[in-house]
Amino acid sequence: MTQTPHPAQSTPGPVRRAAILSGNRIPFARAHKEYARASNQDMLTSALDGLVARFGLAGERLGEVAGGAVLKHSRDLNLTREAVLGSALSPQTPAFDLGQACATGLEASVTIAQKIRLGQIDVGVGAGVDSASDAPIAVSEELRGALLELNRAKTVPQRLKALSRLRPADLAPALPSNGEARTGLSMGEHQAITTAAWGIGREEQDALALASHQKLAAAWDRGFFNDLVTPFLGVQRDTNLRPDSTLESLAGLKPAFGRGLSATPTMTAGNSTPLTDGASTVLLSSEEWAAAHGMEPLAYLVDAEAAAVDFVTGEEGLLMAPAYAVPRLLARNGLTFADFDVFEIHEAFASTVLTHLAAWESEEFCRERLGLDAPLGAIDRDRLNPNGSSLAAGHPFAATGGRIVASVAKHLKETGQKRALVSICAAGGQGLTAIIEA
Amino acid sequence: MMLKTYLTAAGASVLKRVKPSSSVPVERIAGADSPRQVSTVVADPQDVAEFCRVVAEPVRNTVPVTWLHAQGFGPSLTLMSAPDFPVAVVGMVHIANTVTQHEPVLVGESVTVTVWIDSIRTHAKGTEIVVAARFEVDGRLCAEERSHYLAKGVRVPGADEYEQPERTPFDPPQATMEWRFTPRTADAYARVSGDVNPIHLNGLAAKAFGFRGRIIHGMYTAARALAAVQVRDDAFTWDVEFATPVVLPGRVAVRVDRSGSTTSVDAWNPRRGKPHMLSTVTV
Repeated sequence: MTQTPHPAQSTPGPVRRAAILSGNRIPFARAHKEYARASNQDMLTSALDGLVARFGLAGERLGEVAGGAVLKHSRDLNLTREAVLGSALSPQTPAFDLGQACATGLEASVTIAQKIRLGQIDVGVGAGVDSASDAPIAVSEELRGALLELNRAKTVPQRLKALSRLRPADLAPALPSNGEARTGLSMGEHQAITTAAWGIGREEQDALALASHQKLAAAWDRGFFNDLVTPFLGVQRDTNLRPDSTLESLAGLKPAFGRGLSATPTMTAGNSTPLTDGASTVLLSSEEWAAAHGMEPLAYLVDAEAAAVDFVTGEEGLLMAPAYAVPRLLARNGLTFADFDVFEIHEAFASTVLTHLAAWESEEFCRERLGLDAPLGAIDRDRLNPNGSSLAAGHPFAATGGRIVASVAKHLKETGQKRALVSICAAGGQGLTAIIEA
Repeated sequence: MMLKTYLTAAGASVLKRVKPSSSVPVERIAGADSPRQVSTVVADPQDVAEFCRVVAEPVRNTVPVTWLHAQGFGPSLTLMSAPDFPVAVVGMVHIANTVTQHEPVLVGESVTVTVWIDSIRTHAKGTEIVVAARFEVDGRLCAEERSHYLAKGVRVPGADEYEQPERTPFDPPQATMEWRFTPRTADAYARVSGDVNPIHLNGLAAKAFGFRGRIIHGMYTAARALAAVQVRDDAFTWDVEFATPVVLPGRVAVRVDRSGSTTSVDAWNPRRGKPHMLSTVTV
C-alpha cells in the first residue's frame, strides 16, 4: 500500500502592508434623539457616502466592504451589501456582514486588512453601525412558538390547539435586552462585579470620564475630526459630548449599576457609556493602490489578537478578555508597553479601562492569570485615549471600532508618533486588540 | 391525563386528612418488595426538543435527565395517591432529588421507566417519602433517580427511623447569573413536563396551600441549573436540595461555581438572601 504523499507546502506569497488611508463616520448621537428615525442601513450608507465623497470613490469597485451591527433586524441579513448598493460605490462592490459584539467594527477593519495583506484584495472598507433607537422588537417566545406551531398545523383542530396556548400577556412585545444571553445580567451589572473585585474607586472613574470629555472636546475644537466625520441629519458633533462636565457634576450622579452588591456602588451614567446611534467606516488598501490613487497612508494595521474568558462561572469578569489578548499580541510582536506611543482602550465603562490597567500592573494577575514572570507594567495616562473615547463620544456598539481605528491612525500621522495599541472589550466575554503603526 | 391523577389524588388526600389510612404495613408499600409502576415511553425527538427549549437545554441527540424525571413523575403520583398510601400526596413538598446518569438516553429510543416507593421514613417535620426511578433502554440502565418528598406534620406508624443530615448552610455569594421567572414560565413547564399541579398554575390554589402566589415547579429551577452546568460527560451524579419556593413572577440570583470534578449551582432570592435551591453536578 503506497502512502499518499503530503502535498508540498505551498510557499506563501509575500505579505503586503495594509494601509489605513482614512475613515469617515457620522457624529454619534444619543439614542432616541436626532437619529431616532434612521435605520442601521441609512446610517451606514451615509457614512459610506461621506467616505466616497471625500476620496472621490464614486463609481469605484472596491475589493470588499465588511461591516456589521450588534442590534440587527432579521431582515438585515445583508446589511452591509444593502448599504453598498445604496451608496455611490460601484454596485459591483461585494460586501459581507460579520459580528463580534462590540468588537465588530475593529474585526471588520482587521479582516479587510488581512485580505489586503494576503493580496486577496487591494482596497476595502471596514465598517460598523448600530442604532439603539431603531431597535428590533420581537414578539414574545410564547407568541412566536404559537405562530410557528400554527404555521405547521395542517388541520383546523391543530390550528386551534396552537392558538389555545396563547394568553393576553403573550401579545406584549419583547424589546432587545443588553443582558448577557447565558447569565441574564446586564453588561453594567457584570462590570460592577469586576469593578468591586478590583476595588476601582468612584473618583478615579469620574476623573477618567472627565478626561475623555475634555480630550474629545479639544479634538473637536482644533478641527481634528474635520476630515473624519460627515454631519448627518443636522448633527455636527457627537451629542453625548459634555465639554463643561466637572468632577463635581460627575460626583453628583447616582449609582446606576452594582446597587445590589455588598461594595459601595461606583458606576454612574457619567462614567458609563450611554446608548448611542452612529456609523463608522475605515478605508484600507495596499500601498500600491494608495500610490496609484494619490493617497498617503495615515498608518498601517499590523496585527491583531482576540481573547475570550469564562465569565459564565464567574471565573473571570465579562469584559476582562482584552487583559489576556494584549500580552499575547505583545509577545508575538516582540514588544512591550514602552514601545507604544498611544493606547486606545475602548471606554465601555471607565472602570473597564481602569481594571485593565490595574490587571497589567498587578504582579499576581500577570503571574497567575497570564503566566508572566513580571507584570506588563503601567501605562502613562498621557498616552491613553489622547482624543477622548467612548465615554464622551458615545458607543454605537459596532461603530466604535471604526471610530477608534481612523482616529488613532490620523493621530499617529499628525503627531509623528510610531505605534498604537487598540483594545476593545465585547459581550460574550470577548476582546479584540490590534497594533497600528505609522 | 395527569390532571385526572391530580384530581384523584386530591380526592384521596381529603379522605386521608380525615382518617389516615395506616392499616397497611409500610413494608408492603415501600422498599425492595413494594409494587413497581412500569411503563415504556419513546423519547420522541419533537417532544424532547420542546422540553429542551423550555428549560434552556440545547436541542441535541441526547435526552436530558430532567426529561426522564418528568416521565417518572406521573407514575410516582399514581403510587402516592393509591388508596392504601398512608399520607396525602397533595400538599407534599419536593425537598431533594438525586439523579445518576450512567449513559445518556438518545432521542428516538424507547425508555422503560420503573418507579417505586423506596422508603417512608421519619423526618423532623413529618414524614419523608423517597421515590425511586430507573430508566432503561434495551436492558441497559441509563439513569436512576431518588426523589424526596416531605409530608409536613404527618406521622406514619411503622415509618423507618431516620435522621436527615443537616441542611447545607447558605450564605448568599456574589451572583454570576440572574433568572427571571413569570407565570408563563410555569405554564410552559407544565405543558412540556405534564406536571399540572395547581400550586404552579393557579393563584387561588397556591394561596390555599399557603403560598403567596403561584410558585415555579422546583424541577424547573433544577432543570435550569443542570442546563447552566453544561455537563459534557456521559456519566454524572446530580444532587439537588430544595429550600424556599420561587413565587411568580420572581427574580432568582444564581451562582455557578466549578471546582475540580464538581460544579455547584445555587439559586436564591436576591432580596432576602434565602436559598431556593442548592445543587451539585459531579462527573
